[in-house]
Amino acid sequence: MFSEVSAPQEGSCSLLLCRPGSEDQEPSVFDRVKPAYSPCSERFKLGERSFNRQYAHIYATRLMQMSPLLTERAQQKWGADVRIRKLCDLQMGEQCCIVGTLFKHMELQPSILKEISEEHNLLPQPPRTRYISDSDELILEDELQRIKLEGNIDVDKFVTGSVIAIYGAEKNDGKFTVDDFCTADLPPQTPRTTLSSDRFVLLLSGLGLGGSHADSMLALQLLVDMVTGHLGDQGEQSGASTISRVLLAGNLLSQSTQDKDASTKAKYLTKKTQAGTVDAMRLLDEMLMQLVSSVPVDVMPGQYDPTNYTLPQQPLHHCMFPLSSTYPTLLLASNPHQATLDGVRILGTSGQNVKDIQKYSSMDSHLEILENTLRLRHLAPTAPDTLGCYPFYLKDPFILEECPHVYFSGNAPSYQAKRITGAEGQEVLLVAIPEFSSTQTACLINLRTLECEPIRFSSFSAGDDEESEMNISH
Amino acid sequence: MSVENTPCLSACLSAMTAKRAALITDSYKVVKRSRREEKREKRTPSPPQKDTEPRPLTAREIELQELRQFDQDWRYGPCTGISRLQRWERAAQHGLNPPQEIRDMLLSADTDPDYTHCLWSDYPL
Repeated sequence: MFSEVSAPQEGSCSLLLCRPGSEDQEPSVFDRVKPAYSPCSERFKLGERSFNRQYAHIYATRLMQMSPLLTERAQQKWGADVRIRKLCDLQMGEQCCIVGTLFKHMELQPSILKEISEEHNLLPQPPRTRYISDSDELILEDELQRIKLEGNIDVDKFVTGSVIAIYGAEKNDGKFTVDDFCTADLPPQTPRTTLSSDRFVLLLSGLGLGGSHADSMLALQLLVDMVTGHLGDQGEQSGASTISRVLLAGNLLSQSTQDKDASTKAKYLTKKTQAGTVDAMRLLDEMLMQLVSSVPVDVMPGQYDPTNYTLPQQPLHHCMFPLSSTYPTLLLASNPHQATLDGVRILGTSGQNVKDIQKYSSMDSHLEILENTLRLRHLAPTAPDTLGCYPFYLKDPFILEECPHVYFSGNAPSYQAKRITGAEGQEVLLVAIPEFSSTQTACLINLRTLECEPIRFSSFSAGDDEESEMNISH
Repeated sequence: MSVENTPCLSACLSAMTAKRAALITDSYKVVKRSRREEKREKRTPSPPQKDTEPRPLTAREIELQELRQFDQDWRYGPCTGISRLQRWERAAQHGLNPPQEIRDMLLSADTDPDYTHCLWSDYPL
């Protein structure tokens, strides 16, 4: 892959050692590959912003959109003559199939009502990394009713808001015994166009500017120099020219730039102080300017970035980038972001959806959660329950209507990638992009072969004899 | 809140009333059950007035009745917070085939709030 292209070639090394401006050598120019690019994230753009609706609408539309799909899946799985019932028509003991939205009743789930429990003289709950417990119960809701589930369904694997179909029967105690269940599974996919040459997209997330990771700044500069072709010899430069696009998946600023005191401090005390984000944004603007002058860049906001908090996060405002926003190559994207690059459909988020599911289920690996959301055909099932979300009413934009070829989420603790193949031959590359500030790792995706490899820029750490290390271990 | 907690809570609340100036519960209406029961007894059931025939409904009333029926149809999802037309459009978009005459009715009277907004639109969320 990229590392092979950029491996030092015989003879070209000497070029770095020869005198500058020697007459006999033509300066070689590598043109960057320009793939056909079209952003298709209109669905994540908010037009009017009306917050006087309740979240009932988003659950209702989610069920409206998903239930025809799930009815079809249920008929595929349990035969065309399977009885599909509404909960209100349910007969005791009858084997049937029900399509509905899951709700997981969790004892430990933080709730604002419990937080007012100081009136009960109880201590507020300590924040936890995980809110699952043995007493959790799954409840299935359709348009009108709900029923408790038991039997062959793993409570800890599911999260609130997932629409699934279950097969089983209602028992005497009013609970539904699940024999089997099915999810909507992968949506249909348009095949990729075959590319004649290798083209790469570089994904990175969690730059954490303004934070305390000083060594990640050097790694970031190395990355910028590598992408813009200021690093290495001609072989590496020609390799860098095959990077057709860079995608920054959120958390460009560090969490430490979010000054929690600012809202509680008196105004006259904070008058002279500057928000921590100002310097970090300037740094980001300068870094982006170096990048966008050479390569197109998609910038997605993340959890700690200065834009709205609720999903879908709207693009960062261009006024915050006085230097880099003059380049047409800078694309300020929304989160989630979707784009088509040379016929390869890329979809992903900055990782909030995955982290939220991690808190409310027993699943640990970001990759596993990512695959799970793809099989549920929903980007963020826990929105709006535990994840901030705009109150949509017309349609739920997080339902996947078309299967992406590359499906990513940002700000993972470590790099992970996997290829999965769907029942209808869909090919998806799942990528958990690691946080750059702590791992100094970016992901390079080959658009031709749909392979992914991490590039580590770990500088000055023990055991590294090279400044920039191309790590191809998966 | 469990039932056995309630006495302890009320004791707690009364202790706080002594300390604090205003409580959230102060804004609640004080309901005096005994007086209400008296009133109920006083109010004699009015005799059924047999002489007044139910007058025929006007066209507007019939239309409004139909619209209220549309509001209460669970298949088209919740109706609060959005206009009737928005709800109709959503149902149409998801292939639920809402009745066409409802849309015609809504479009013919697109300024009248009795038509455009749902039955519960006057209630706060």
